[in-house]
Amino acid sequence: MYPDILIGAFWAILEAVPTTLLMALIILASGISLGALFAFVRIKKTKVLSQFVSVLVAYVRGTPMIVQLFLVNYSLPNLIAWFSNSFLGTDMKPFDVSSLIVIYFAYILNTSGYQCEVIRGALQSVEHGQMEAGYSIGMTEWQTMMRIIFPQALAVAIPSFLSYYMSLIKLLSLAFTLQVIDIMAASKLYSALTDRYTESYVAAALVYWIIGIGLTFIFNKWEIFSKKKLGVSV
Amino acid sequence: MFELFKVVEFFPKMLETFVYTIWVVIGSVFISFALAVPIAVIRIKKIPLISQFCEVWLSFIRSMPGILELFLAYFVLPGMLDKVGIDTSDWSGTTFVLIAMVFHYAPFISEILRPAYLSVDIGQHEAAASIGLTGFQTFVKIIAPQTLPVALPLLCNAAIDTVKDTSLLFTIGVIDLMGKADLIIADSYGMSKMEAYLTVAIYYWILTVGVIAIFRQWEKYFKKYKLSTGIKLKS
Repeated sequence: MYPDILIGAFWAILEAVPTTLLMALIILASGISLGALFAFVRIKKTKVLSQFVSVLVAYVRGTPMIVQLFLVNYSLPNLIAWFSNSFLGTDMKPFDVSSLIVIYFAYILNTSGYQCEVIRGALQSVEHGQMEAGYSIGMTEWQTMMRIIFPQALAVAIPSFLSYYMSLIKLLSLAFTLQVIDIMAASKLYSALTDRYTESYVAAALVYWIIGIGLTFIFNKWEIFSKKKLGVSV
Repeated sequence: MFELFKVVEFFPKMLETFVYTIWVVIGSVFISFALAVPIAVIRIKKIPLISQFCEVWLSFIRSMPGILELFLAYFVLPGMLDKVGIDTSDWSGTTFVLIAMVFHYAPFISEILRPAYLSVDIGQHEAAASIGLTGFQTFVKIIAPQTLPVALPLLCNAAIDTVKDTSLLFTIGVIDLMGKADLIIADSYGMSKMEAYLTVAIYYWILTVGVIAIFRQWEKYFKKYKLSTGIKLKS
């Protein structure tokens, strides 16, 4: 093990950290929005749509991320190309579709499947009496949802959102199979450039560890903050 | 383009690797569990130095993606062992996989067992001591049965995570379901990628559903030890 290569690898990998964090944030935000939509469909038990969502959730939760990634990678570009060629009159090949679109699609679908269940559980954790209390003072259903139920459910759901952010950063390590540069891909690139696997992977592990410790610190701070805040509101 | 009957054709071809995947899952879950128990004991008894070491280990694996651990075991570990004089050149890929899995899941499972053990009321220990049970008897007869109903749902999650982590084995050249899919795709000149990976998805889905079903059975069995439901006495 050469310390100078290790330090070089560390700095090279550090450059990929902002991209990874930003990608995970975009995916988490979109996934939560889509997941909330799915959760409403499942709670309202909309016909057909509700069954479709339950199949989707079972698929997302029952298969590994890399399988989902590959399935999207070999189907979505074909679909996009076919759609654009037959309806927009373009001459597009499947490999013209950027792998970023594939990554975002696969990860957002995955996140929405998990977050759908989280949001559903959080919404159902709020007592039904709260809804009735809202009605009794003359609020509409929408108003009760937005002002009474939603803030309480959010307090329950936020820890799960935060821990899924950490999971997403880890899951994004699979994106290197589709040539997107995240932390893992940067370390693979560096190992290929210098022909030193040991240093690159150890440096990647250090970077992940630092991110993990940092995020755990933030989660703990949030937990203390929310406990205090919940103590005031209840 | 997409031909559904290909999935039916590929399905029996992957059965062998499916069985291999099941063995890897069973192996890593059982070895991890066996190691997790002493780790949990060390952390509960707060044995100095080893306890702190386990905490650092836990914080490390919490922030590590599965694929990186696999690479660390496969690319970095042999070099380290070589310095100590252990030759790893004839170790199979499965060995490294098991090392990576156990390295991740042993502290992970210990962090499930520890709170489950601590959730058992202190009065239970005192009651056991009052009727003259030894420490070991107390653990086996009183504490452990009450720990399981608390720990089982979380252990189920850990087992599902293990199942999902086995999908990465192909990255170090082990022929698992994904590796077999690669071979099948190569056999069909890269034509039926979608069908091959769909077959893999179906197999993994079967595996997760199976794991959940097994744990549901265990949960049902151990429910009678849950104190809130009352211990049912056989008449």
